Amino acid sequence: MSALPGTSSSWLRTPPEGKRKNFYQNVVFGLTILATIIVLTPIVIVAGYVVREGFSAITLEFLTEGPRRDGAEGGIWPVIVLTGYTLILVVVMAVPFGVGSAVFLSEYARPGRLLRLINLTIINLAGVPSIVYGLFGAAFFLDILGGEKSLWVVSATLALQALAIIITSARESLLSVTRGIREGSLALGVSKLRTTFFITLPQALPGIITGVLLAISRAAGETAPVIVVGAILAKNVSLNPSAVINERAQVLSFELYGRITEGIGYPEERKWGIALVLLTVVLIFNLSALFLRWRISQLGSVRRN
Amino acid sequence: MAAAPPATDEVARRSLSESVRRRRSGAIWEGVVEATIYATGLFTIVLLVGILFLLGQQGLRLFIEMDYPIGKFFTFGNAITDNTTDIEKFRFGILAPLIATMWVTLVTLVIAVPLGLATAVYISELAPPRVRLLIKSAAELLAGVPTVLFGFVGLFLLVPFVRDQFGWGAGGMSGMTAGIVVAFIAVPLIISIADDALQAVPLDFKENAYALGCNKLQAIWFVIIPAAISGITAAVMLGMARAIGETMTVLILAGGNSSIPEAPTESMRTMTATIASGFGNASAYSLLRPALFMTGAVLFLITLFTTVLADLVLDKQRKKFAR
Repeated sequence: MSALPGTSSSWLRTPPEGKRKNFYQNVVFGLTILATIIVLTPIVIVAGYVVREGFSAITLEFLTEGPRRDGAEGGIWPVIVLTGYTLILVVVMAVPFGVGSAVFLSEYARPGRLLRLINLTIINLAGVPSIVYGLFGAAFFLDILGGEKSLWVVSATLALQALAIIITSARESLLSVTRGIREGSLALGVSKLRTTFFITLPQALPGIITGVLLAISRAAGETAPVIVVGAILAKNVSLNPSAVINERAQVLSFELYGRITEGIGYPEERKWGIALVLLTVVLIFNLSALFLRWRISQLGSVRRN
Repeated sequence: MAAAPPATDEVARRSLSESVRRRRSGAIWEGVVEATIYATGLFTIVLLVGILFLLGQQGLRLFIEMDYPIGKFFTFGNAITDNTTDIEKFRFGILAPLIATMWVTLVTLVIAVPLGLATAVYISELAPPRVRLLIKSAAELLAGVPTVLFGFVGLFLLVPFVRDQFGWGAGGMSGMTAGIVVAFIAVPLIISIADDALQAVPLDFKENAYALGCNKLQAIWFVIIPAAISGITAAVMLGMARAIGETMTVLILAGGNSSIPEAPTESMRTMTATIASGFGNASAYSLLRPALFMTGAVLFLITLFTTVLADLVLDKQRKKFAR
């Protein structure tokens, strides 16, 4: 066997002996497997450690009662409820814009400079550091719109950040809907808009939901923009839905960060408890997104057969 | 499927005329909705431009309204986040955070690139489909773990270890410590994009390599990786942008020293960490607030530049294999 053209490194040439033939190959492939294992260990370490340390802190009181003595006792119920409000509001604000934008990109926009520009914009929005979204939120919602540092400002900032994920997955999902279905509807005289709403969107729904779940998961774990826009540590406040406007945000991620840095004398075990609740929330959304996507691929492959 | 209604002319005519009427009555609304869809389509551009504009507007106030010297902002070797309105007392330059960001990013890339690319090669070329799917899902899960959790766990596992074994930084908190953890945050992105790039290489490239007598390793090394090199470059660049923008882990693990770090093993504070730690006590009329916005604008421009460049590189690969 001769060397490949342009091959200067002799170590890659296949040696003539049978046994050594695959030696380098096996070493290199072994290394790639090792790398894969190294990459994936942090999940096990983080999840294992958080569960081990935090499990004992999870009591009914911790989950369902308000904080006492600056959070050193009692629970994190207000934080859990307000995190829920924050995430619901993120969905309410981000989904119409995200799906609308995806519909435009997949159904209306013609290939050309504008489409290319918008696609590049979305890629960039996905790459903007989360803290920059925080700065933008502070400048826009607080300075320009003159809002108070209330919960909805945090939601709106996180919603802007969620936009890129929602658009990308919704567009992909819409584009994967077969053309024939659209054409069939159009041929029956249904307008383009109605075709989109009643034919295409329902078909794409599972994929869109996957993206929304991922976006929620991301928003739940996001901390940096929340620090900038202004959240507070656990505090007993009125938990009516009006808290969205009247109260400042309390979110799990900020609660954890705040307790790590400022919590001198804050029981170590409770920090891990917060970490465990946060991890659980994030993983529930993340895993359901992964599961849904897996289901879609299963159904898709069945349909194609 | 419901049973088809009797197709008499009467029914057909009536339903047709009805649908035409309905369509007319809805036409205005449809126009409104379609206009809204067009508007949301353009919203992303408005948002991106808006971010740049607002950050610039808020940041440039530092030089224009507050007369803070531009030279001092870009060359002063410290970034003290004092909440002050006194120009003389305000000692803030972007150089130290910028260099800190570079150190952390460098450490991240040194660890994440080999790991990420090796993993991408494994899942793309070697692993059986089931394993591939499993690892891809696991990598996505890794990407989904909140970075504040990485910071927290790193604080308890890695920081004491680094302090006892190497004595780096402030009690084990250093750029190196943070970089090691950030590597695992950046690696899923590198894997995902590099894997896409490797997958995009047409199958006949590989088959031709085998036909020429290559073994699997040679085919990967001499044919597939060179063919996918632009996608792999983009993967590295996007991983870099991710590391530059990462906030929580560096805030918790890098130590927080505001002066210029000379080595990655020192305690340092990156651009992101400077903003996050300083913004809380920056009052509206202080010099600190616009200075942090300016820092944010520089951060934004760096990631924007990296992302656009990565996209151009990716586009090159897309065109190469477009058929």
